[in-house]
Order: sequence, then structure tokens, then C-alpha cells
Amino acid sequence: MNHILFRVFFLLFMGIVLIGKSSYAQGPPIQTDTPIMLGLEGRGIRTFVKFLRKETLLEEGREIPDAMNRRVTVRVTPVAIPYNLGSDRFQVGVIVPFMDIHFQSNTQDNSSFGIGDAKLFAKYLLYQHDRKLETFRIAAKAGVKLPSGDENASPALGSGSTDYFFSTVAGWIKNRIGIYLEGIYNVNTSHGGVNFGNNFSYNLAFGYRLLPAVYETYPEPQLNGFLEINGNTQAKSKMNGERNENTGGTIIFLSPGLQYVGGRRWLVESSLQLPVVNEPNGQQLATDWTISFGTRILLF
Amino acid sequence: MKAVSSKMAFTAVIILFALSFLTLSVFANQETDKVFKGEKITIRVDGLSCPFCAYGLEKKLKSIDGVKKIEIKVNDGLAILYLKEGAEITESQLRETVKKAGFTPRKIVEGDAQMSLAPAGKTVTLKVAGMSCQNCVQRVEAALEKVGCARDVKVSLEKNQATVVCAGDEAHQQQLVKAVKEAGYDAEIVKVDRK
Repeated sequence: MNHILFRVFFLLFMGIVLIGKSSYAQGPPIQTDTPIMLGLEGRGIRTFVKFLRKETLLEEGREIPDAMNRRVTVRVTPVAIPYNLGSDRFQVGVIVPFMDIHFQSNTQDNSSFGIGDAKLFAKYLLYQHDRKLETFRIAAKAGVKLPSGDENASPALGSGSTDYFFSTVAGWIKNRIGIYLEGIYNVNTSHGGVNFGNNFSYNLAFGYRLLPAVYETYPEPQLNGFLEINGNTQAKSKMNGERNENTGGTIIFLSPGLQYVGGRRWLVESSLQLPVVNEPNGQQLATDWTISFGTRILLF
Repeated sequence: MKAVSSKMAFTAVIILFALSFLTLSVFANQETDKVFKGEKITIRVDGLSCPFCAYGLEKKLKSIDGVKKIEIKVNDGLAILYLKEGAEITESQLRETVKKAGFTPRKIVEGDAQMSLAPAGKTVTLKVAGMSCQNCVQRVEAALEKVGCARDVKVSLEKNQATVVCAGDEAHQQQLVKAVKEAGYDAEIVKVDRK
């Protein structure tokens, strides 16, 4: 694991060193949040469809055969609407996910479709330092996840609990590059005897404007490339006070992505997530990959 | 009686002091809050590093009364406002609008002052092959002047070279070469000096 992580960080570092020259700017990262709450990120709508596959059975991080031949396919389509209140320093927003989950095994074949757990959030720009063709900003975000998804569906569309999250995101853009760092802590509460473990998500994104080489006059179409590291470490869940050993763990994805900003009001983007660290606790189906296709449209 | 008159005198002094302070403030504001009346205003905007978020800046500047057209030069970090005839805009109005759009306003000047506001450039010397007359010189000059980063273009037939102050990086400098080649001449960069 350390070996792979080292290689990932080395590649990112070399990327930054080698490409950190030349001219100006790129777009918001795909999997990581941004502290820049302007334009598409301030008064727009964002949606994407994300496909996720879980098929590999792991025990203490090692692949083992699954006698049940289980497979989970998830299609989630979140719709995010952020809105800046007054100045462009304070934002509130809502994220509503539409879920389509399919579970298959030797004995079952179940699907459920509907609204998942919606999130409400508020984001505030804590720090802004602008220089010529360069900006560094830090924002803090807090929110609540509501139990809007049907927890009794099979497979369940929501957790049934009201959970809270807090995050900080920093972003630095200069020349053609952008670097973003985000940490999110989720506090999961108990519902119906089940308490999902709290989890910490960490994202690092490196963006580079591939085209045009020189961005002269706004607006101009642009193509951005992203390489992100998206990690999540979750504590074990508790059921009626008893810890479930087959829950929680760590997963870290390496996520290459492409984004095309077509004009003033829209962009399209796609990102692939491949796990470079896949260490769920105990015995669990692991996430094999995810792929996302999305768009952001400016409304106001 | 003495006490009353000294109180009155004290109050009068305070009023006079306050009045003079107010007057000074008004004059001071009048002095610093410059009024722009020309056709064109150029604002250097810091933090203008994400083109996708320039929309808000464009929209907010456009909403100022008297603004006809906006041009945002991302590469130079400049917002250029074209005003309607007879329009007047104050400096504080412009600064406030840029701040509200989420950016940091710096120098604001009237007219075509991009050169003085753009980032400092480098002097790029190009060896140009194939020029045989003054027409060629003019063609090369015109081609170079069209490149966004180019300032102070000088072309010499005798030396077969062109010098350009380019406010940009290597990618911009290569655009100079490309522009000369597209005009029908061969070119290569022989020297790059900080201006």
C-alpha cells in the first residue's frame, strides 16, 4: 500500500513540478470541492451520473472467492444547486441524489430506485489572497444529511439517520495549474439500532489546462485535465451497541478526469475512479471502480 | 455667567471642529473618488485566474449604468469597460463592483492603458529569414502586433531580426514565432531577456 501511495504522490509531485510553468488558469475539480464560489460554482446547477461497481470480495484486504457471486451496481445521479447569498463569500445549497441500486447474487436479484439521502449545506469563504493571475482561497463548509432515502427498500436507498458533516477546502490557482485540498468529517448518528461509523474523507486534486495554451479573452472554450486522489476512512458500524467487524475501512481512489468548458454557461466533465488502496475491514465487497459523466450549467 | 460662556465656547469649538472635519472628509473623498468620463476604462483585476468564474465579473460590470461593453483579458488580468457617450463612472463604484464579483481590484486607468497595467514582459529577439524589403518589415510587424502578449514591436531589415516585449511565458513566445511563420517568413527565438 505504501509503495502504491508513494508512486501516486511522486507522480502528482512531478506533474506539478514539470507543468507548473506557462500561462493561465483552469476549471473546478471534478471529485473535489472548490473554495471558489464564483460563476458556475456560485449560481449554477451541477449534475452527474456516477456508476459504481462492487464485485470483488475482500477479507482483510485480500481477494477471496465469493461463493454467493454477489455483485452491486449503483447508478447515482446527484443534483446540486448552490446559491450565493448576498456577496460571493457565503453560499447555501442542496444536493438531492437519485439512486438506482441493483443487487445480484446466487439467490437474490433485487433493485431499488428513488431519491436517496438529501444534503443541505452552507459554505463560507474564510480567506482570499489574490495576486496577478493567481488566487488562493480557503472555505469552510458544514451541512446535514437528511433521511430522505427509503431505508426499508431492498437494497436500502438511505441510512435512515440524520447525519452531519464539516469540511474545509483550500484551492490555489496559478498559471495553467490548480491544486485543491479538502478534508471532510462526517458524524453519523444512530437510527433503528444501527450507527454507521463516522468517516473522514480526504481529497487532493491537481488540475491542468490542456487547451488553449494561451487563454486570451474571456470566454474561450477550454479543456482541462485532472488527477485527483479521493480517500475515505470509516470507523466500524455498531448494531445495537455491538461493533460489526465487517464494516468500515479505507479506500483511496486515483481519479483521472477531463473537463470541457464550452462557454460562459456550461461545462461537461468525466472522471474515472480506480482504487489504489482498498482495505475494507473484515470481509466486505469492495468498490472495483466508479465512472462519472456530468455537467454544470449556470442559472443566474 | 462665566461658566455658561466657557461651556458655550467649548461647544462652539467642538461644532467647528466637527464641521471642518466633515468638510475635509468631503473634499478628501472628492479628491480620491475619481470620475471616469472617457470611452474606455481599464481595471487590473487580481485573482482573475479561473476563466469559468469570470462570468460574475462580466455580469456585474455590465450592470453599471453607462457601460456599453466589457472585455475580459484573462491572460493580462484586465477588465476593459467601454462606456456609452456621456457616461460617468466613479472609481469607488468600479472597485466595489469588482469586490462584489469576488475579485481584488488594483489599478484603474482611463483609456487604452493595457501596456501600463499588464504584467512585466520579457524582450524576445527573433531571427527572421526571408525579408527583402520594407513591405516585408511591415508584414512581420503587423503579424507580431496581433499576438496578444506583444508590446513594443521593432523589426529590422538590416539585422534580419525582430524584438518584441512579450508579457507572457514560453507558450506566448512560441506564438510570436508562429505568427511570423504564418505571415510567410521563417523565424526562431534567439534571445529572451527580462525587460
